[in-house]
Amino acid sequence: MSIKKIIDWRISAEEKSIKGVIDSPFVRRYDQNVGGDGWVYVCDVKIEDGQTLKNVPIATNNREVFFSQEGKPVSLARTNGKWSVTGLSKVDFGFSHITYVTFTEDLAEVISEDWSGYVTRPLTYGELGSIIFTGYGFLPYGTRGRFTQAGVFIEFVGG
Amino acid sequence: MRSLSAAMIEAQESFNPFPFYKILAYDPTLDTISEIVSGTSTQTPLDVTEYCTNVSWDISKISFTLADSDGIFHPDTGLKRSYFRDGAIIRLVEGDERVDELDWMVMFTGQIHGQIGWKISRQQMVLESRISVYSRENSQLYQRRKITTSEYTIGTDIGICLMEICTSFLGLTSAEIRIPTVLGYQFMHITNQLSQVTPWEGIKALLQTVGMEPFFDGEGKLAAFNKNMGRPYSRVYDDLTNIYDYEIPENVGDGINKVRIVFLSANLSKVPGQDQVLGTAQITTGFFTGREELDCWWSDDRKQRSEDTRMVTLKGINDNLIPFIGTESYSQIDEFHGTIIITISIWVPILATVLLAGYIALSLIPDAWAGQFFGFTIPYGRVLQAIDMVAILALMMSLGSAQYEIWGIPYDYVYREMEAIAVEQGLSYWEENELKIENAFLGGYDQADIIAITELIWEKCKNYTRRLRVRNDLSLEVGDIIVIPDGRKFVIINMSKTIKRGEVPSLTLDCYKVMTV
Repeated sequence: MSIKKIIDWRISAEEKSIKGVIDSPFVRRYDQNVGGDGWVYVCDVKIEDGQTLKNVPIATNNREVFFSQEGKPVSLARTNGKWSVTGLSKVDFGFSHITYVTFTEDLAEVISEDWSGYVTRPLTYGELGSIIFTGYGFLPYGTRGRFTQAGVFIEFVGG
Repeated sequence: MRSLSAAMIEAQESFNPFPFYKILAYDPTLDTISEIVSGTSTQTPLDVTEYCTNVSWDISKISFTLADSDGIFHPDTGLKRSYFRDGAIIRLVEGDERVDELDWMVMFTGQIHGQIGWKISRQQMVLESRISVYSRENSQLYQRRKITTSEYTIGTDIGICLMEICTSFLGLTSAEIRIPTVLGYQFMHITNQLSQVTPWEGIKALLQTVGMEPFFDGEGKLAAFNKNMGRPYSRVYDDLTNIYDYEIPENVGDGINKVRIVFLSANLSKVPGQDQVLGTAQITTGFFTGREELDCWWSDDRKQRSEDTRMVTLKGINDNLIPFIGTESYSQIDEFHGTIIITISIWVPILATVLLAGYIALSLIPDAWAGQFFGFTIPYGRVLQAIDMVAILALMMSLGSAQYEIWGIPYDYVYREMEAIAVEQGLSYWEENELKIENAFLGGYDQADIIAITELIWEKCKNYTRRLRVRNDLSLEVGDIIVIPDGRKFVIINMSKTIKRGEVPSLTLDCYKVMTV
């Protein structure tokens, strides 16, 4: 293990800012460490590698973030070990194209590929009537869902 | 691989070579390293070979002991001290005694950084200097200062930007650059600019998009080799005659088995929000307005984009006393706003005008008299006026306020951060040792996938380091692929040797074992 690697890990551990995507509606939670009445607005944020940070508070008075919706890219900052949503981001997570490679003695061979990641978007008119087999009328207009790169429906989003 | 002259090849491959070398020093106050490498220098270099012993060379550094009994290179008092001052340019030239010096190869070009070491000891009878000269890429100037390049638009070959860095920020001339101007890969984004990166980082990032790695060759020229190891071999050893040692060095590092290339999509992607109220509108209207147009923006700063917008009427203009005084409609003008249009039917103002005129006209109707001597006057006009007034009031009471909501799906454009991942098959999550490479100049999966696979294979090859000691070969350089008699292939990542007068040097090659797709 080289000194450079140790330094890289340390730098990574001290990283102050990351990107994420709002992954839940905003709710109020009680935080005993906060002064005043102790209520803060929080939401779940999906970060790199598809992991989700739960109940991330919004930085104080950031109405821009509060009035955004699930699926919006945001930036997060860490202070004293706690992440908070500090603003909107111009960069969103896209799809990952994964190539699987095997290695033998002196040969590398690409054996398969796959996609990961999803997009969140409103259902189209066609999807509103076809995703649930009850037909039109059951799902309200504006219902949002998550879809794979190939357009396959994964789940509904939001309330 | 560098080209040797026919005479040099013959001498090098002869059974009994007569290797010869020279160490040349240049005064940095007379010529720059750029002029020397470009071949436009005016000074005649000082041949300091006779003073140099214990010469050791690798691609990044040359070291030697300077035996200077006369003290002519003494840093304070030496007559020729400027040849070993800070920034002095030193070249190592190798060839064969039987070959014209013009055909010899420049194996190293570098500069002295700082002050050379110097020791004089009467007691030990020592008067010598130890000198280290570093290759061009080891200059702090290339790796510390931050630069910002010009902007380049979509479709520009990345080689154009590379040339700007080389010429504007590294001071290289075209004669010092072996990398072609056109690299065959174009910028994918609308605006492209390198900002706040060191020149060397910038060059590496640009070349990474085509799978290349930069280095300065022996002559001090900027060159690059392709990390794709499926390319032709530089040297094939048919037998073991020219391979003296073969070593597999201990390698204790955890090898990279996953490469993640992160890049931004060339196109902005739409990120739609939830269907919601974008704005509300309230309007007061009636017979006095024929047509009202009310702009409705989706945000106060008029920058929010929305689609599939529609109007929901909370209270319409026909919800008052008279239910058919006009029409109300909505249309989206652009992605930022729409317009509510209220049209009052033409009969409403006409009727209002007629009724008012009638009210005046009815006031002229004289009252009638009922009775002989006593009785009442009958105000026919007032009665008719009252009826007219009721009609006017009904019309007036039908005007008032209407309220609307505009619904729609707000959206915004963002750059998607895409990933091309190459990973060894069959790894569990905890077994992955990942290398993350961010390169904003890649714009699509096609190229990013190639780079990811190339980098993964390169990292995998790094696990299999090999060291060979072979017969001296002046044509080899970093990045060359050699093949040993049993068919195994190695890519050279470093070369070194010790040079002594009158001795045939052997070349030590640090290599990675080649894996090909």
